[in-house]
This record gives sequence, structure tokens and C-alpha cells, in this order.
Amino acid sequence: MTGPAQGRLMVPAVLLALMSVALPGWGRPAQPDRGSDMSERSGRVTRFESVEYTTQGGADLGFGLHERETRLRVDLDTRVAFLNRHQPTSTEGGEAIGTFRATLSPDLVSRLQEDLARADLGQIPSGNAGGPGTSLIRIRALGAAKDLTASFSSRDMATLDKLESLLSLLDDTVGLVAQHPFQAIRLELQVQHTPSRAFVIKIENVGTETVAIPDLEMLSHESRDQPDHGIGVRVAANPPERPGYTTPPLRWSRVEAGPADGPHAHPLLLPPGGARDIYATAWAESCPSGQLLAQAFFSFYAGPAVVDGHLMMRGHALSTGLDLAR
Amino acid sequence: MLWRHGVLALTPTWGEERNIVLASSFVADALRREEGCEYLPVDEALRRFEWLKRQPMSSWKVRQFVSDAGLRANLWEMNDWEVANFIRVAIERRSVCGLRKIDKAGKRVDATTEQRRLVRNIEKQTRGHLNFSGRQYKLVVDVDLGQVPGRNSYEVAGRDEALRVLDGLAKEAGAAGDLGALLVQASAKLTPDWRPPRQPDGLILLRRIRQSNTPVKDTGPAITPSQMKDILYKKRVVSIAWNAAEAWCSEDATAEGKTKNYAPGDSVEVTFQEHDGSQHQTVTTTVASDSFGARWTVTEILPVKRGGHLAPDLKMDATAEGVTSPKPLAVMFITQLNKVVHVQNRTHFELSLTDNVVLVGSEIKYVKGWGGEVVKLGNKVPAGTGGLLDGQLSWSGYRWMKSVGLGKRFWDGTAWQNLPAGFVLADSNNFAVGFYLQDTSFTCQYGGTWPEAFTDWNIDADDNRRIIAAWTNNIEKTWTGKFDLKRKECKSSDKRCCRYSTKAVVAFSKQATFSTGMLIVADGNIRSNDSLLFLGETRIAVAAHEFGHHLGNPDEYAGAAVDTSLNSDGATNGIDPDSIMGQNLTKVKARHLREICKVFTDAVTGAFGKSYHYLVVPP
Repeated sequence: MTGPAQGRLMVPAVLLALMSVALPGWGRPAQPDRGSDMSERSGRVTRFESVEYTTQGGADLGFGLHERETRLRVDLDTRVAFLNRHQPTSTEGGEAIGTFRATLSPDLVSRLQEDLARADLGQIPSGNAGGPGTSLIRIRALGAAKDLTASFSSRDMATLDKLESLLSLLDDTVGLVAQHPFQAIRLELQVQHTPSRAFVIKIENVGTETVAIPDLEMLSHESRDQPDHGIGVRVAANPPERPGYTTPPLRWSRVEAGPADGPHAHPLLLPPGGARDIYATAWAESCPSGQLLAQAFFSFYAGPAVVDGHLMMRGHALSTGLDLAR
Repeated sequence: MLWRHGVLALTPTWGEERNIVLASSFVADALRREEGCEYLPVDEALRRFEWLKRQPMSSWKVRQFVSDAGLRANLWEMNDWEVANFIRVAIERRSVCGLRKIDKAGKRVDATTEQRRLVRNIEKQTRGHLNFSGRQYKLVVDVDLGQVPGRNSYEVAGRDEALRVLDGLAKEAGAAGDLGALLVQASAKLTPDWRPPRQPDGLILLRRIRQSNTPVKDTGPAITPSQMKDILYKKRVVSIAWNAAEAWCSEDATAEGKTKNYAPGDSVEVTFQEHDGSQHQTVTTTVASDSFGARWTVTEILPVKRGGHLAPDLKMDATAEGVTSPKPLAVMFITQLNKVVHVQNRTHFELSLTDNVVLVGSEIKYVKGWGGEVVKLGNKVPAGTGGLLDGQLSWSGYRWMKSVGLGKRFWDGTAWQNLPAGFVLADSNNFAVGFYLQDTSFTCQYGGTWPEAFTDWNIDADDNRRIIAAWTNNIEKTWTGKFDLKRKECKSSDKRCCRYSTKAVVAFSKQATFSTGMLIVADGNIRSNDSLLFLGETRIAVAAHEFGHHLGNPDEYAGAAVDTSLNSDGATNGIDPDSIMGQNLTKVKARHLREICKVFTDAVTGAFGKSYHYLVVPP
């Protein structure tokens, strides 16, 4: 097979190969469920070898990557946890996106084992509350004799209630592993202290591996009116709080980014600690007056997962906010 | 000598003017054609008739003429004066004409040849069917008028009408072939209007007379011997009539007829012709015992516009050998349906049919609202922390959460607090909820009230109106014209037959107060849900997805209440990412019109008593 068809097949193949390296056991065939939990009946605690926790929501924005997508895998034997996160958990910003890797404490792994044993994932009914604005949550626990999966939506309240302890532990684990970037970038926003007060958006490789990023100028150029593709700054009026009143939601205006420092390439490889700056100018003219809040954004879902053996940074990232006054 | 049965000599039978006669208009036409006669002016015909009246035996001759010419049947009830007066009136009305035989010079031969060639070419191009505005026409050269087969089935169209018809036909022909050019040539060669005794000079457009086989009490025009021979021995269709008053597409209707002088096994061609229209079909059937039945399966007949709308019926005449059914068959169509309202659980829409377009409408009622969030903090807050909504919401462990700038705060029962350190927001522990104003409190769509006031906002601001208009437009664009409904039993090969396009018509309707089933429209953009839509929602297709629920479609999301029996057209166990009901909010699939199809089918049965089946098909 040659040509485009071959190229199409290479991407998932490379991705699978990379995941297999990064995550021991990732490509292992699923073990069939061999029946009821004999170990519990015999008084022994079920032991799982690994657990996968995925959250997926929104549209497929390219190459199988959804608008919201987070994947955590914990090898319960080696205690190595691997997180693939494509967007921040909140709008607060400053969170890195990419992959993260950490070794968990024995205590945390032990609690995960206990909660997994208690959760009885095989008995969780399939979700039925999905739809727009919800995410599909999937927990898969693999053991020598078990392969249990629970799949439900973020609005299947009874399941969320039943799995509250396990979900809380898994979310904690996500938060913990996210402190250890492996192949990840973080956005930072600064304002130049010059008369033009241009924004400077810095993309930094905060991980330990070289990563690929798209050509930022091209991304900026393509970003107009596309909510899921682009780089720039969003600015909103941020009126002071009124006691007793919930402030209205922020109404963002976009300031497109302009020229970027350094050589142009697509994709661009960023070594660990490497950074690229891109500027956004003329923001003052297009923004509301008064107290302002500015935040850099990066949205890129369309590229392949891996380029030249390096993970492409895909997803949505936000910088921490900057308070400004006009 | 200009004499034949049914004429009255108006001159002595000797001398130069012996060949002046009176004849019925029918016979006069034959004489003009066959004998080279010309018409006398009316005053001359009257003068010569008065001369005749003064001649011996004139009364007897006049009575004989009236009788032979078949002008009047009840002669015995009239005295001589009345008979003479009857003739005078007939001359004035030109139902009786004076004729003089003239020498026919070989004039206009070249022109005639050219005109005949033109007529032949037009007939060739139109295959002999010159139809316009529901009428059949025939072009003839002036000298051929008398030889037109079935001449009695035609009447002469005036020059103005002829020009209009030929011009209209030329326009219809357009640039296709050279028919248009031929018709333009024919227009230029049309004869001026004429009346006897003047002669036509050019092409004549004949208009087919709509015939009826209803017996006429009047004796009608005079019958020539040759016609009498025809009547006695020629094969002819005596009558034809439909055996039913109406028929629907793909049903059978039969035109039954009586014949004369047909041998068993002879065939007769029956034409089913749209009354006042151009749609027609022909079948050939066999005569047995001087009768026939031409069965017609109603197909390939489309409704026509009447009064600006597609008419629910269309009249079809059955014609055989110039005899037309006295009453047409009404071919019935389903072109209009009154509005039906379909409400079943979450499904609610209105359906109607106008001019073969199925209108699927839904009023989307909404109220102005606000967006907030709930969060499940679990053991990340100390035991006894207030603000739990247990008892207000139907789920336990949640508290109100709001955004302040870029951060989040939760309500502890007395104040807003920052989220506890170490707490990780995840899709599993928080989500957006909608609020609406009820009296003075802000009520959550799932129960409970917001602990403070939301800042008011103007839902009618131009920007917001534009967004709601964009939702409306997106829904209509997404759901209009993607599939048609087609009657399964339709036997027509014309794909337009029994086919209905679909059109979505949506109206967002703002309500003063909230009630179950309404949408809450909120400012900002958190995460919309099935009854909460944020104006900042970037996935505009969410509105079209929700409209899909109004049409009775389940989600096709993983993790949703899917219909696991869906296993085609991209769906696997009810899940189809590439669908407007699926995760990517993309395409409308045929299955998404199932409920519309079902409601339409039921509505057709209810309104027309027809147990038709409809399929959802690509347009």
C-alpha cells in the first residue's frame, strides 16, 4: 500500500507505538471477564493490574480528538500513572496540556485498589443521560482475570453517586499527575511595557521531552471566527463584584495574535524548556474600557498526534488571567 | 352543375348564373372546397332567395331544402311564411349560405407548397400534438381546410388567438430544436380573419372542439350522403364514459365505451387527456361485442396549480375516435393537509402539507434565564460545611457554584467560598444548571433557589436577537430539504409523483414565565444541556440537535439513552457520531424523519381514508 492511504494508517500506528512505549501494557489485548468475583467470595481482595479513566465530551475536532478529552492510566503494579490531558479543568488558566507522568504513592495506589474492588464496575448500568453538554466517562479496570468497564455520562447521577469515592480518587490522581508534565506546554500572557502595550503570548515546553507545536503565525492567521482553532488573546470587561449579586458572565472579545519570534516551521519542535513568543497588538482599540481581564488562548485539534516521533500539542490551553485597566 | 342533395338552387337551371345555390353552412363548406365555390354576400343571398320565393313551386322547394339539409325537423308545424322566414334568419346568421361556383385559377401554388411543408415540419416536431393551455390545435393550409380529417371536430381559431397560441408554443419550445423558429414562421403566415364569402389566405389554426356524447335534441348540421354512409357503415365509437368518478395515483380506472361497425378483436385507441391541460396518455384496447373497456392505472399524472396552489384534483377526459367522456375522471392528489399537532412525551411538533411540501414546525418556548453551576466537593470540605442542596435537588452532595472573574466559588450556606485546595474540577463533579426568575427568586431548572440575585440582562438586545435568529436559521437549514417522503405504493416512474419535500419551520417564542418543557436561554457560555442553552454556545448545532428531540429522535451519543436497535446508516447499537443526534452534531439521517413519516402517514389516513405507506428518501 502506498500513497495517502498508507499515510492515513501510519498516524494511528505511530500513536499506538508511542503509547505502547510511554505506557507499559497500553497495547495489551483486553482480558475477558472470567465471571464473578471469586476472590471476594473467598475472602481475598481483588487486585487489578491497571486502571484507565477517560472523559470525553464535545465534538470530534480532528483525528479522533474530542473537544474535551482526558485520559488517565495507572499501572497499579509499577504505580506509574500517565495522563493525557487536552484542555484545562477550569477557566482559571495556567494549566499545562499534553502528557504527564508520575509515580504514585503506595498509599494512593492501595486506595485505588480498594475503591476499584468496592466499585463493582461490571455491575454499573450503561449510561443513559448523555447528550450535548455532557461527557462520556469510562473507567476500565484490568486484572489477571478481569477486565471490567463502566461507561456512563457525566449526568448519570445515580452512577456518579454510587462511584463517588472512586471518581473523587481518580480526579485527585489526575490533579496530582498533572503536576508532573512529561510532554506538555503551558501558556503565559504578558503585556509589554511599551506605548503600544502589545500582548506577548509565550508557549513554553514545561515537560521533559521535545514536543511539536503548529506554526503559531499560521495558526493565528487561520483562527478568525473559529472557536476551536487559533491562538490569540481574549479580553473581557471585568466589573467589580456587587454584594448580593452574581456578576454577569464575561463577554470575551478576541485579539488575534500577530508575528511570532524565531524561525517559521510547521510543525515546530520545542525542546524541554524551549519557548516561542507570539504577539498580539492593537488590543486596546478593540476592547471594552474599564477594568479588563485578558487571557491567552491556544486551540489546535486538527493535526496528527505524532510528528517525527514527537507528540504534537493538541487541545485547548489558557494562560492565567491578567488584570488590566484602560 | 352545382347541384347536390341538400342544396336549393337560387337561379334558373339554365343560363350563366345557374350555379348559385343555398346550402347549409356545412354543405357550403364542402362545396367551396370541392367545387371551387365562393360565398355570396348575405344581402345578395337574401335578394336571390326573395327572387326564388316568387317562383312557382318555391314553397315546396324550400320545404324540401329544409328537410334535405336537415335544418329543421318539425316542418309540418310551420306554415310557408314561417319556413321562408326561418331561411331568411338562417341566411343572416350564416347557418345557411349562398354559393356561386367560380373558376379556380392555380393561384398561390408555390405559397401553398411552402405552407404545407411548414405545417408538415411542425407536425413532425410536435408529433401531431399541438397542445396549448389545455387545448388541442391543428395548423392547416387554407386550401386544405376542407380536407382536414375530422374537420367537424375543429373550429377555426381567430387570428388573435392563433397568434397568441403560436407565440406561446414558440416560447415553450424555447431553444430546443427548431420548433420555435417554425412556429414563428407559421405565425407570419397566418391568414387574416375572414368570413364567408371571403376566403382564408394563409395558415389557419384550428381548435379542437370539446365533444360530448350527450344526445342533443337539436338535429344538428346537415348530413351529406357520404356522411350518412359513414354513419351507416363506418367504424365509429358511439360513446365512452368513465366507470368511476375519481381515482388516486396508482389506482385503476376504466373508460368503458360502445362502438359501431367494429369487428371483434378490432383495436381502439383511447386517449386520457387532461381537461384544460396537456398531460395525456394513450392506451389501445380491443373491442368485443361493440364495446370496450380501457383500463388505466393512474400514473405519471402530476397535480397542477390552480389559484396559486397545487389543486387536489385534476380532470381527465377519455377520448376515443373523437368521442369524449361526458364526465371527466377526477384524479385525486394529496397536496394539502391541515395542521396536526403531535405530542408524545418529549416529542412535540406540528405537521401540515402545503403544495406538496411537508411543513414540520415547532414552537420553541423559552424564558430568559441565567446560568449557574453545581459542584460536588465530597470530603474536600470539612464535615458540617453548609450549602448542601440535598432536598432541593434530587441528587445529594451538591452545592451552588459560580464564576467570579476566572475563578470559581461555592456557596457554603452563608457566603461564597473559594474552592478547597486540592479539589480538582472534573466533568464528574460539576455541571451547569439554568435558572429562571420566579416572583423574586431565581429558581433552578432542577429545583432549589440561587442564594443571591443574578445581574439582570437584556435578552432583547440586538446581539442576542441575532443569536436566536441564527439558531432558528440553523435549525431550519439543518432539517429542511434533507429528505423527502415518498409514497411506497406509487407506481409512477416520474420521481416527482407522490413525493413530498420537507421543510422545518421553527419559531423561538419568548415566554413570561417558566413551565415544564421550556428552554432556558442564558447569557454567557458554560455547558448547555437539553433545556438550557447559552447564548455564547459555540456549537450552534446544539439547537438543531434539540429540535431533533422534538421530532422524536433519541440521542445517538455514547452514554445516552440510545435506541440500540439502530444499526444502519452509520449507527451501531444506536450510536452514530456522524449524526445530528450524535456527539458531533453533524448530519440529518433518514431515520431522523421516522416520526414525521409516521405522523404524516396517520394524517393522510385520517384526512383521506387512504392507508398509504411512506418512505423517507433522499431528495
